[in-house]
Amino acid sequence: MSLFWWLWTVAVLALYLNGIGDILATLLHLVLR
Amino acid sequence: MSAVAAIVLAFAALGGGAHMLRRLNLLDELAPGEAVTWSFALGFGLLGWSAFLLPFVQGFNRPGFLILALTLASGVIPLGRRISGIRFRPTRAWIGLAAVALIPTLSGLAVALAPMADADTLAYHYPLAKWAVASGAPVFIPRAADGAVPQLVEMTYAAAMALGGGYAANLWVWVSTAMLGALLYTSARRWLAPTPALATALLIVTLPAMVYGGVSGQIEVRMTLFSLVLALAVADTVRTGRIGFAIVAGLAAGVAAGSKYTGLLLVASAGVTLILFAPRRPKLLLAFALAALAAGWQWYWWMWRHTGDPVFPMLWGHVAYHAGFPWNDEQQAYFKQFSVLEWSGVPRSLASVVTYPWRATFSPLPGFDSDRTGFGPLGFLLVPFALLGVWRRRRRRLPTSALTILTVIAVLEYLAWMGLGPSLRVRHLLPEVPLILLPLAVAAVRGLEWRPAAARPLVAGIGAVLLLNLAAASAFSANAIRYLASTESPEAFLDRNLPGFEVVPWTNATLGPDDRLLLFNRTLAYYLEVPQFLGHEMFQAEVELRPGLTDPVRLWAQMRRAGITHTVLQEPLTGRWAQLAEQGCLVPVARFTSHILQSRSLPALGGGQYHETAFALNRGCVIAASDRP
Repeated sequence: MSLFWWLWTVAVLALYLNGIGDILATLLHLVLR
Repeated sequence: MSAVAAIVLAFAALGGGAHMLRRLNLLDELAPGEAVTWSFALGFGLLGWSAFLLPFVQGFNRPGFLILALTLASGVIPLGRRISGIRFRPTRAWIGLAAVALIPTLSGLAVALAPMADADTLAYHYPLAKWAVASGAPVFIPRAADGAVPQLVEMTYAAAMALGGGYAANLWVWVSTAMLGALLYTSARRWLAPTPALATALLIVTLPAMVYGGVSGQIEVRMTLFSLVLALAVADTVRTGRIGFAIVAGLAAGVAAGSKYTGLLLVASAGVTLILFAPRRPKLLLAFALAALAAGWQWYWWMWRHTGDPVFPMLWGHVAYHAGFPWNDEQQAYFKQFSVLEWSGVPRSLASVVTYPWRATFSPLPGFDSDRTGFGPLGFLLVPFALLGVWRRRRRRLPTSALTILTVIAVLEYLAWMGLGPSLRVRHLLPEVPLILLPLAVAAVRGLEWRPAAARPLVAGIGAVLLLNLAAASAFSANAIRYLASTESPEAFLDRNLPGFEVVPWTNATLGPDDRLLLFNRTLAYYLEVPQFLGHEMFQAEVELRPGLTDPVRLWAQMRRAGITHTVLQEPLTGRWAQLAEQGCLVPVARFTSHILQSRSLPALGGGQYHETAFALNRGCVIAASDRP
């Protein structure tokens, strides 16, 4: 039963991170620079 | 001095609100924490409301504001009595979360201690306050959307500037953001234990849109103080039937309307909610409406007095404007394009109403302003967990619960915003966001009590959201921290962060009080110390700048009538500007190379360079009409 809750959590976060992908890439670039 | 001014204003807000709650016999009715946070929210509104009347009473200046602030601050005595003797023993988890809460609080303080660099703040929120202090009364600027607008919140900035200068205003907006965090906490405490309540407040106050708008002059975060008290007071009115709560709801609604036009939608949403949930108590609705009117009339009267339209320019064509007021049919038609542009890509339809939250969260259009400064995924994350809680409690008076009332007010406001709102920027919805997230969080916690198996994924999810929020808050403040940790001068900081700032030191050193600069870079407005005129093509018609206008004679006449002596233009000059320069009416006096930034917080997003020239208007010039397009 807890699988559903994990899937939901991961899916929402993944969708959100995908939406702000450009910004995350920039942040990563800043960190690795 | 700046810190002292911010502290004095904080006491004034706390005391002013406490006076009001005491008069309404509610100070002892509320939980001690709420007595403090409601006092601050109501007192913040009272401070801005009283400032409007200062020019008529004791003067819109430092002594006037000091007398006002100290008078209001006297209310902290009964407030102190109310909260004395309260004991609270925090758990380890609570202390840990409170330590985490220090991260956004201190990074916000860093932003407040650096020179203000937020675009909207510098374009009009702070300048309106600064000019009001300089001229001893609120200044009317015939500019739609950012000049002739309700200014209750800006008047509290004026109080801060009069008492302690620009940095006092920075600290004041920081204090108000921190107090919003406290209000969120005391609101959540109505339903949640201290630790989940603190987590909820922390998650909401660190939403990227909150961080972005918090330590700035932007109105929405301050309006959230009002919307939260408004919604809870409506719920308390329904629950208790007491007129005092209806009056508090009305006062909060009124000051929200005095802060921004969208506050009117809040007034309507709360009024309709009151009718829906207390249909047989017209006295409560009347008390709400009269209080809202008393708190919100000022700026609509002010607008009407200056233009003939209480909601300039929305009633253009429907009411008589004062003779000679600088607005016309062409400008109105062009101004309406603003809304069309802002809504580009999204039809006004039921489908948009349903899909907008999803799109704004997961695949935002640039017009939503929600990629870097949105609401984050918290709401969507909570939904199924909250449904669990709702299902669990479905037989417990759910239809009339306070959380339902909060949700209804927010949904009604959202529907009105989608139907009438001029823009799709998510931050305009900020005052409604806690009214949705708070019920979701409470319902989710109730759901976990029933299905403990869901606890781990939810805790992991909100942990990830909190980390994201804190990372964004830290990135947002990194620039300011770098400034504070270095020997960089304020001018160098602004030069680095404000495209076109080079114009400011030149203008302040070269021009005087008899000059007037026509500028197009709105973010320079606050730091200019000489008379200025913001040349917006859409928002004003005093100097008509709409694209497609071809008559340089008219432009010249309008500039001369507005008293403009200088202007700064981007190269190369085109259209009427090129014609004026060719005919010797514009004389170049200085040249600047400026930089463009995509983001102050993330300079790696890129930028570029452009050139500008400062021109003096040659008063002896005789301009001839040209048949060149």
